[in-house]
Amino acid sequence: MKLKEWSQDIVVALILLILSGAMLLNAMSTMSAEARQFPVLILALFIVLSVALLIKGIKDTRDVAAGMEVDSKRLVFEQIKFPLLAFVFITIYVIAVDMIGFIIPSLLFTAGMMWFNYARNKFALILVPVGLVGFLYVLFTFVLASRLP
Amino acid sequence: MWHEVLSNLLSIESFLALIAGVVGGMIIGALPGLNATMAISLLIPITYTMSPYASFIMMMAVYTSAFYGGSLTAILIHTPGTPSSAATAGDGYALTQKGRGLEAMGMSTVASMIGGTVSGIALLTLAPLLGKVSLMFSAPEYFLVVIMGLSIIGGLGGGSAIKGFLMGCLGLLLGAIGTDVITGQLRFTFGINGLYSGISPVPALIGLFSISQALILCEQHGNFKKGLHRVVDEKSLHGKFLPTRKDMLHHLPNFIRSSIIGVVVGILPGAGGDIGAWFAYGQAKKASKHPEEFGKGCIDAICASETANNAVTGGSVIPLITLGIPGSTVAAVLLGALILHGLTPGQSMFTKNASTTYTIIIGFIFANILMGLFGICICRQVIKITKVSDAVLIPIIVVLSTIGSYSINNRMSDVYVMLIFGIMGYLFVKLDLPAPPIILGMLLEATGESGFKNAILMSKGEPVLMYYLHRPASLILMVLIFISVGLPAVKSLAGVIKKKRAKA
Repeated sequence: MKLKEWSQDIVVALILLILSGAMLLNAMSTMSAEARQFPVLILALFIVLSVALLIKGIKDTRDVAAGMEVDSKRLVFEQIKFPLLAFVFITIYVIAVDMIGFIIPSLLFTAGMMWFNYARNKFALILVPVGLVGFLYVLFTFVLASRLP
Repeated sequence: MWHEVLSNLLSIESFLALIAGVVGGMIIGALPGLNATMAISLLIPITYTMSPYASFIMMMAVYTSAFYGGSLTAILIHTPGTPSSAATAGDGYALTQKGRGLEAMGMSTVASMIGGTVSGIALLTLAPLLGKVSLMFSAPEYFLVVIMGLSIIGGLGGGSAIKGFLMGCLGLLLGAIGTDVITGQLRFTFGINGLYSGISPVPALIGLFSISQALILCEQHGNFKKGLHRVVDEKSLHGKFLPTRKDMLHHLPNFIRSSIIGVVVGILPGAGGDIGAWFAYGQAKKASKHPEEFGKGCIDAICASETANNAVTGGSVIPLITLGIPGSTVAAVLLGALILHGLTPGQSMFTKNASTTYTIIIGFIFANILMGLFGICICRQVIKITKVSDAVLIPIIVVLSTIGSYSINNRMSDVYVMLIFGIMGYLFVKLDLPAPPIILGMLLEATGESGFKNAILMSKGEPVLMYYLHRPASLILMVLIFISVGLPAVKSLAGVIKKKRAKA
């Protein structure tokens, strides 16, 4: 079984098993018996289900190798490339909001994201960010009496 | 109480919430890629400062109107705005191609209004009766109710049942993060100060349902580059719009049957508007004198699917407010909103909070009627909004999510939580892992844990399982859990046997 041919369920199950192992270790070493009672019960169930997913993944991989049809998706990097890039922009935007405040980063992010996605109408590039940020400023500051970041 | 309900309903706040919810829901539903779950998760922070009844009227109005809005694009451009309108798409678009698009939209408007209103009446009459069932429950049963909710959502949420249950457990573990209320000890905080008070569920659900949706829309980057956007052919909108009295009488059995199907499917936890619509579609086809017309542009098909999918909305709220078990993904998000507003599902919704509950239910009935009236007046204008490119919608969703996550507790750490859950939600979609059980697990962890611990205390040394077996209400719940876990397993086993037979 080559690594490339593995069902993605195998990878997911292995990640979840590592995660549950780390959480179990943390629970056993830092919590009292009473505090860890419920989380350990759930972790045990979580581990059993992760093992079941691992077995399913191995079975699916074998079925695919045997030429059988299997009903499972496969993560393709080409498909998630732009969403991941967009997520990097969103992260930068959130950090900017944290450091500078809401208004200027939101104006720049909205216009920048539209530009990134080929919305090149100059009128829309100005009107949408200004309209959105203006509307949210009025809504949160005056109507909901809430604070902006 | 009814005097208070009336004054709540007649308040300006309720009136504005109703109109904003109906119009907003229609627009959200009509935009393919956006859905009621995302809209309601974004609405929770905005409605946080409003009175509970007005905020729920708005959210429920969005819920039902989004289902109706979804049918408009299904009919006109063969793209269901929401999954629940998928059954409408085939026949609706075929009618549009025949030049009867406006007639299909008219039937969709009337059917959605009737289905939604009937489900509101069902909510008004059935929910108080079911609420009394919760009186049979004490702490040990609430642990089982949590397990039942998770097993049903996990098992019927689509895809593999193992993945659904896994995500439910992950939700419970995420809910356990923070300070343990009984011992005061920190759990799974790994030294991060921001986790001491636990993970706030609202930013988590905004991330899981809204940011992930924005990232899904980003997958169209290639199409944006080529300048490919949605095209709406408004020329096909001509002819009669509303069905005549004779048409209404002809469709009456279909309206009644599909409404009942929708309400019942809605009450069944885990089954959503899409299942209700397809089920009613199938039954209408069986009952029709011309079943061969189904799929080729049949107005009966639109009547059935649209009546049923809107009838699901009220039905799915019944188990939510009576037992705290959401009947759909949207209802799971509504559970988060209920908790945030300090409302506890169960009999207290019909005693202590009765005026709020009845205001919400009657407001929901009004929302369905208003949706029909607005649909008649403005559905052509709503269609024009669907021309807005997804490239414009993406930053709008992100900015709304950011301010929404921040405004709940006025802290930036919630926005970072939203960000983490956003990428998790997107990867979960790509890895075929269902997100709704996570939110349900997070919301129900506290109830489940206290129920479990109380059951151990109440058993007084007796084995917990034996203690549960001695309690009739627990026994019934355990049978229901067994069925909800066993059913997907039996289905999966049947699939394996079928495959093996086919191979042989």
